[in-house]
Amino acid sequence: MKGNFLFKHVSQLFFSITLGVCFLSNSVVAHAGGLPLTNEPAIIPTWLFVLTGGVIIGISFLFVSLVTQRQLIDKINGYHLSLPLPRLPRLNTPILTLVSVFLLLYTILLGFIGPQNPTSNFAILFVWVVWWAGYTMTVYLFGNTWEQLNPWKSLSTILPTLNLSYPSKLGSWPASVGLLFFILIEVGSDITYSPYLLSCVLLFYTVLTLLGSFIYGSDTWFKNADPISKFFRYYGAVSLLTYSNNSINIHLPGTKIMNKTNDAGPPAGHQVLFIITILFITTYDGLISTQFWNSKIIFPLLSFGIPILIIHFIFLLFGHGLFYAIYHYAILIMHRLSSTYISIQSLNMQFAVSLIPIAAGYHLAHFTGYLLTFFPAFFSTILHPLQPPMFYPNHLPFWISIFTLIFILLGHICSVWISHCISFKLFSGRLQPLRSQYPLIFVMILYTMFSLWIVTSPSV
Amino acid sequence: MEQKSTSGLEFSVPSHASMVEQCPLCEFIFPTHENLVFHMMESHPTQCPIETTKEYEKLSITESDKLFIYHLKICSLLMLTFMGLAYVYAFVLVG
Ligand SMILES: [Zn+2]
Repeated sequence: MKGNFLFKHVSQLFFSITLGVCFLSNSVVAHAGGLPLTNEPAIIPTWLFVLTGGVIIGISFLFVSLVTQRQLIDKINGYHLSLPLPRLPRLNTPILTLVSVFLLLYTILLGFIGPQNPTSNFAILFVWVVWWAGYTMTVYLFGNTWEQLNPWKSLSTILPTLNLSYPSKLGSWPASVGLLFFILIEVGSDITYSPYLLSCVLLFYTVLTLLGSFIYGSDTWFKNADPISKFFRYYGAVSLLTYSNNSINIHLPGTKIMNKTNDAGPPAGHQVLFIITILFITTYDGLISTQFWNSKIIFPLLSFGIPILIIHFIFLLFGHGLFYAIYHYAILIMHRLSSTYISIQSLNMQFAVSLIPIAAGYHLAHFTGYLLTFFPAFFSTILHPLQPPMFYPNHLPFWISIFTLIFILLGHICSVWISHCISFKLFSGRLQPLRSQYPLIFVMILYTMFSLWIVTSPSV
Repeated sequence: MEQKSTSGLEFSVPSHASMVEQCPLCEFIFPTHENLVFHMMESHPTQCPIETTKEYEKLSITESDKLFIYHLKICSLLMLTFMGLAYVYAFVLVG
């Protein structure tokens, strides 16, 4: 008991000292972080800056591993700030449905008849800036609203259905393949620039989705096979808000997962694949915009006469497989280190959710600047859909780039915490859960450094 | 040898395993008796027999000592990391 008492006091002392040092070093990093993104000559070289990012994740693990009491972990996860919800007039669901279906049809229409210049077309700005960048942010920050807003789901409920049973063997495969295919089109074609092509793809997706829900039933299709619904469900699982009847609760990102109050459902084998897909596509999106990737990889391959779609297809498949392999290998080592009888497959499923905040943090870092730059253009296309005034993007303030780096680090730190909580649920004692974390932390450190390298390297 | 548990976890015992400790209150299995005692007190604190509680107290004192050493290691690692980083920064900024 004496050892326990001593341990508490010593660790508290160390905790406060190191916390102070950490704050100091954080401000150094933030300062360094902004520099490579500006045109001024960088004082701190990229390698050091990337290394610092990795060190911060390592340090966050060391801090987190000081929290070893299960009651304390539960208390931290149960902590929330309740704000009274103002009594808003309840939004009528049929009205919401009508608005979302109207927006879908309006977007497709303007893609065809609107101006074909991307920065003055409503369809392009609405889909990529408002929906893909902005709306996705609201999902992982505030919670998943796609179940209510999804126009395709609304459309499918009024159509007849054959209600065939969904083959359980398929699992999340159609959703994973769909998401990879979506990214393949996004990076390999002109869909982010050409309103006409965007509308064609939207039409294609509409037909495919309605066909799927016609065969398997609306609920089954959107729950299992629809990539977009699944994508938002997983992002919603790490959001910071929970709503109850008359209050909003603000809590840590992992709370919903630990209390099992998220709507992503219990972990299953095929879901691991989907979560890895989410993580991989956000990274790939960033990777292809770097000068390095374009000049060293894409252009040489293009000069051999290989079509761009094929190049991206191969890299997507290969990269996705590589991500999965690295994660699986980390879990294998975890299984060995923790000497547990829980099967590898189960560990695989349980720890996969801890990767979602990484993807969310990276998404936030990647799209904040983009959203702020192009949102004014979107406004002018609402007012003048057919002939908006010319758009001249403003230069974003310097501090935006600092936030980019903070978001990446925060995402990883949340992941470290969630993974820590999961390990204390699965393994017994206090040392076994801590030791089990080494392989995942190692992978996260490398991944942070890779992400930071991507966002700081010059883009095209 | 695989079985499905109520917690949604699957367990598999390697063929060369010498020991399987089964929790009497749920479907968790463990390679050591120590792990089982920890699990019972952590997951079913109100349903544990008195012997388990006593055993837990003994084991957790040993573990606390180990944990103390572990945390000392972690704190020194933290210090070393900060010093190392500060050194590298100083080196780069001056040089
Ligand atoms: Zn049990």
